[in-house]
Amino acid sequence: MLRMPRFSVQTPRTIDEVVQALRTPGARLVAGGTDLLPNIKHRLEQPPVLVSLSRVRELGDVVVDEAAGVMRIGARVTLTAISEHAQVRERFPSLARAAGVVASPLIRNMGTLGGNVNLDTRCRYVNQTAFWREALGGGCIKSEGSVCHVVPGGRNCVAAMSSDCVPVLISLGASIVLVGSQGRRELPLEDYYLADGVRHTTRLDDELTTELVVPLPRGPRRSHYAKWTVRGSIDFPLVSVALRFDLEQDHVSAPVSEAHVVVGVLGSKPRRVTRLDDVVGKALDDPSLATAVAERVHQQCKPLENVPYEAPYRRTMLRVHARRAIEVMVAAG
Amino acid sequence: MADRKQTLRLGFEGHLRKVDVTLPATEATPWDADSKLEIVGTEVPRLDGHLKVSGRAKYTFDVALPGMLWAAVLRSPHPAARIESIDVSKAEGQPGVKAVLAVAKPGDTLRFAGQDVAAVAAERPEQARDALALIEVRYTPLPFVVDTEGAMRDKAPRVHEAPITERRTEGDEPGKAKAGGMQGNVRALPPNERGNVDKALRESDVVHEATYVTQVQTHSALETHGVLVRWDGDQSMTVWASTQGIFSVRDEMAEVFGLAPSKVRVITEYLGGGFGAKFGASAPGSRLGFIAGELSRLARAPVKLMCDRHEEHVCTGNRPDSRQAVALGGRRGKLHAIDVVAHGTAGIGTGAGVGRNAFSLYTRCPNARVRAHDVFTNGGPGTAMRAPGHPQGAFALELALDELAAKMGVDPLKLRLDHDEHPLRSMQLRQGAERFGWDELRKRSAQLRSRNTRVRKGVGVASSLWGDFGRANAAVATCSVLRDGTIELKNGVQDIGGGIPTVIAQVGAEVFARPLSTIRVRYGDSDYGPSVGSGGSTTTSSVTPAVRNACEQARVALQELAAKQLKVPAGEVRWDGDGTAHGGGGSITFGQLCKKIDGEAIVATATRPATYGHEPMAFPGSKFYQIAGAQFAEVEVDTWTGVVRATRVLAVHDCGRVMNPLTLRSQINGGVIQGTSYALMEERVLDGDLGRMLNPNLESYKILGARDVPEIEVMLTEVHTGANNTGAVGIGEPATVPTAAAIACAVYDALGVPVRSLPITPAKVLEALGMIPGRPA
Ligand SMILES: Cc1cc2nc3c(=O)[nH]c(=O)nc-3n(C[C@H](O)[C@H](O)[C@H](O)COP(=O)(O)OP(=O)(O)OC[C@H]3O[C@@H](n4cnc5c(N)ncnc54)[C@H](O)[C@@H]3O)c2cc1C
Ligand code: SF4
Repeated sequence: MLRMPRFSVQTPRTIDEVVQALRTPGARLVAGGTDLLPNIKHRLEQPPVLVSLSRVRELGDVVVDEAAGVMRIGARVTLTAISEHAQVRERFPSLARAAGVVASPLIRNMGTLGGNVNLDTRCRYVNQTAFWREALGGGCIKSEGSVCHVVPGGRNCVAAMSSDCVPVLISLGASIVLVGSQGRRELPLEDYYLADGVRHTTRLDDELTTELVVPLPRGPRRSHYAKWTVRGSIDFPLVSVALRFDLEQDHVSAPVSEAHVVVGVLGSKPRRVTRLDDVVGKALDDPSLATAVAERVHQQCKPLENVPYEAPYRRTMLRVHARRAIEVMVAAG
Repeated sequence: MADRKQTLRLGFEGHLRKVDVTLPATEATPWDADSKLEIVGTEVPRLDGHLKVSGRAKYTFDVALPGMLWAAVLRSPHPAARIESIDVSKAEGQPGVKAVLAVAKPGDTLRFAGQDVAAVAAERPEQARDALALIEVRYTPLPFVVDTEGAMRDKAPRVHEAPITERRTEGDEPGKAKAGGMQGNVRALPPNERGNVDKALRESDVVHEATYVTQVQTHSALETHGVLVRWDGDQSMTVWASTQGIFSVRDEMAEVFGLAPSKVRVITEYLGGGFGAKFGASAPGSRLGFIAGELSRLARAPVKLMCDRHEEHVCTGNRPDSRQAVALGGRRGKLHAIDVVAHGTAGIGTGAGVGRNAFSLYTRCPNARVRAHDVFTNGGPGTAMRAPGHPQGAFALELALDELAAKMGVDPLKLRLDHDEHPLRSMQLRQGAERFGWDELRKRSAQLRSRNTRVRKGVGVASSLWGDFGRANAAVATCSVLRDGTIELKNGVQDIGGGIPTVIAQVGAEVFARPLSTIRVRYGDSDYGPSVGSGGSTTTSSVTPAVRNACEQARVALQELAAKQLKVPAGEVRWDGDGTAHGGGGSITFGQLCKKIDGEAIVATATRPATYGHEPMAFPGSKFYQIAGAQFAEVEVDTWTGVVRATRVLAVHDCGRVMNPLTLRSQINGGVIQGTSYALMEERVLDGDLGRMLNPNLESYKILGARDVPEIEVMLTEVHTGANNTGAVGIGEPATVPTAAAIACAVYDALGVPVRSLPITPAKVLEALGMIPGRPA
């Protein structure tokens, strides 16, 4: 069994206290701990202090604010709660689905949305024991070393953004709210991520994510999340595609008014698929739409050898899964 | 005493016949087809099930002693290196550190990444790990090779300078001869040939030739390897071990530390699996017993050493890989020649043979030859793993057979039936095919193929052969009938997870006609008397006959006591269904009778003799019964993604007498699940440039999860072999032999093209379909 180094735990009760606690040098936030603790066991970090969110009541709600036209999901809400929440299921089925296919039931009971959007990037050369990395000749840019084994000669870490919920939230136009000593800020989730696997978000050290704000659909919509893993359960995504189509009427033969496709598990940043303009105006059930979207996904997304299974295979699968996801939406009516 | 003759009714459904066997005088009359048993053969839930699911069962990992230290091992980061110097002094003064040990010496050559270098014992496991970082070792890296093909090349770095002799454990099939010489990294294993294969291939009208590749699989038992050693004075010790061979641990510790075996007590109360890698106090690639024992001696405190998952993957054994060049010759619709040339790597170790399947399964094929070779590479040593060699051999042979059948235009099932001489296996194949729906399902696959559907289905079948290697005189069981009416059964066997204590209790309950609640089983401790290792699928067949003999002997003594009480000759005492003795018009209950026992208890000790029967067929070249099995698999293949799902497996097996259908089905379920996992997911990935395992954890070393398990149907074909007095033979290994082969055959049926490499990953499927270009080898 891998062992943990020693650390102390603080359990503040309010957001302000959390911000205060984060001032301790080296302090790290912990919510469900399902990402952080394995990383600590692997000695990817050795924080002297963990600041637990477990007692911060204010972060634990899902609120539909019809007046503002948004749903606010607290950072501490568990993935299980999201996947089972009636309002989430009704208004954001792709989000409920994404939350519901993370890992396994036990992990979803612990794992939170705040943890999921701040999930550290992953790589086959880094999520290993310290001894393993050391034997590699001293780790890599993201751990103890200075080279990258995925992109030899690369100066940036390209570890994979592997969250299931992030591509979906971006496709839904969500924004993220952060509170720190500088105050509160809200920004589109899309802009939160950076193409640097070592520090892949713009979060400041004393900031915490308090909530995700998701605009309520203003008209008919179809959305889906496609995830491929080797096993039926417990695995991180290897292929991850979130799709959202807003429609002019509430049936799948209606023309698409907006299309959003976001892909995860490439590099450190989720990728929004662009040049979907020609899809707008086509009926969702028009087969040429599915082909066009799948083609764009395939052209624009280039998986790397940072996670298991051959990158060329995963690239081929992006096309297949994107197309199938649309077929699923169409078949569901 | 003279042997005695006994007539038994033996065989299987529809094929029962009277057979004379010769038994030692002390042997209980074997249970045969005519025996009416009440408790043996019924579904008795594991007696310790509630302890396991509630966490109260204490595994080696859980055992904690006062003052106990934790050990950690520094392992070689290099796949090949010479140690120039090693300095442990800085680790010595570290917080909590009580002993430091250099396991390797300057000048030693390390041959795989993960080999033992040094070790530390400290008060807390973290302190031990931290101290390892302060041990200074200077290495000179040496050239290495980790892939089998690379190691076979002329210029490949030599893994061993000197010839290697085979290391064998109780997990290996008994009776294999010694191997031949070495050429480079390649060492030939003894060949097998019957008939004249070269000639037969020339005579054949259809020849199928192809190479089949299997991967390295790790045992990945849930509980990792580990021992806890406590010296009791300086001439004796107690060892808690996560082992499938208590007595092999005892013998190794005695030898390593120069102790009398009787001075080493070994305890394994609960064991989280072994699959062949847990014999002896050492792991195949790490001297765990020596390290823990020596640190304990130095520190004068008990020391516990448990591997982490990384260590478990790299230095505690694995199933060797294989590349098997198979040539099959067909002549007039029949199998005429089988030729297999196999190369495989057990890393720095031996044992990459490919099992008996090609040579001994289709014995009606007149010409067969198997030439296997160990190829040494700089990887952790392989070791016996659940039916060593067999799943590899079965995969190549059975898939090749299907390819030949297709070329000859015959049904693969028929081809198998035509060449299999085991009457029970033939029945299993026929009955299994009917229950499975073989003919209709084969038609369905053909239709889906011809319609070129996106999702295809296919079915395949493969066979298993194994021997009843139950051991004579190895297990000594003690039966004590206590004055309070309790029946205590003792034997030092470990429960690898198969549920042997429950079956032992059933045997006692059967013999005495007493409720299970009155039976107490003591096991998992060398003090309870000699026993076998859980290897070769021999536990139940070695232990239960000894238990039964002990029980029968105690019962004879009890009968004499009853006779005295009832004042009749012993021969006139009759027992009824609840253990009450009747005679001369009187009766005495079991409880009353036990109170009359002189002293504390009636105690009888017994073992079992060598096998005395093998109805209906022996394992090739032996007098052991040949255990038969066949599995049918159905798969669903998505031709766009290449993803294969095993949807259904029908496992048809014999295990002699079914002692307990519940524990038996668990073994078969486990065998099928492990085989499916081997077929579709598991693979040790070594990086050729780094010489290290890339997936030494359970996140990226994929093992089938609950959602990926096929629907498993188990069909039991009971057979009365006359091999021993309970009739039990093994099942643990036979149950995993054919699974991967059947799945591979089913994938071939679904696609019309074979995937000749395990695991059958999505990319390989697409490659076979020509949808993505093949990767360079
Ligand atoms: C076996 C296994 C399988 C997994 N499979 C998946 C999968 O399929 N898909 C997937 O998406 N994830 C997966 N995960 C990862 C993880 O379980 C989830 O992402 C989960 O949502 C993380 O949430 P948490 O609350 O446990 O995060 P924690 O571990 O508590 O935190 C994760 C990171 O986020 C930071 N953090 C937490 N809360 C906040 C906050 N409010 N503000 C700012 N920073 C914060 C922490 O400091 C830490 O760096 C898996 C994990 C395991 C162990
Ligand atoms: S992408 Fe490169 S730098 Fe980043 S974790 Fe992987 S190997 Fe290290």
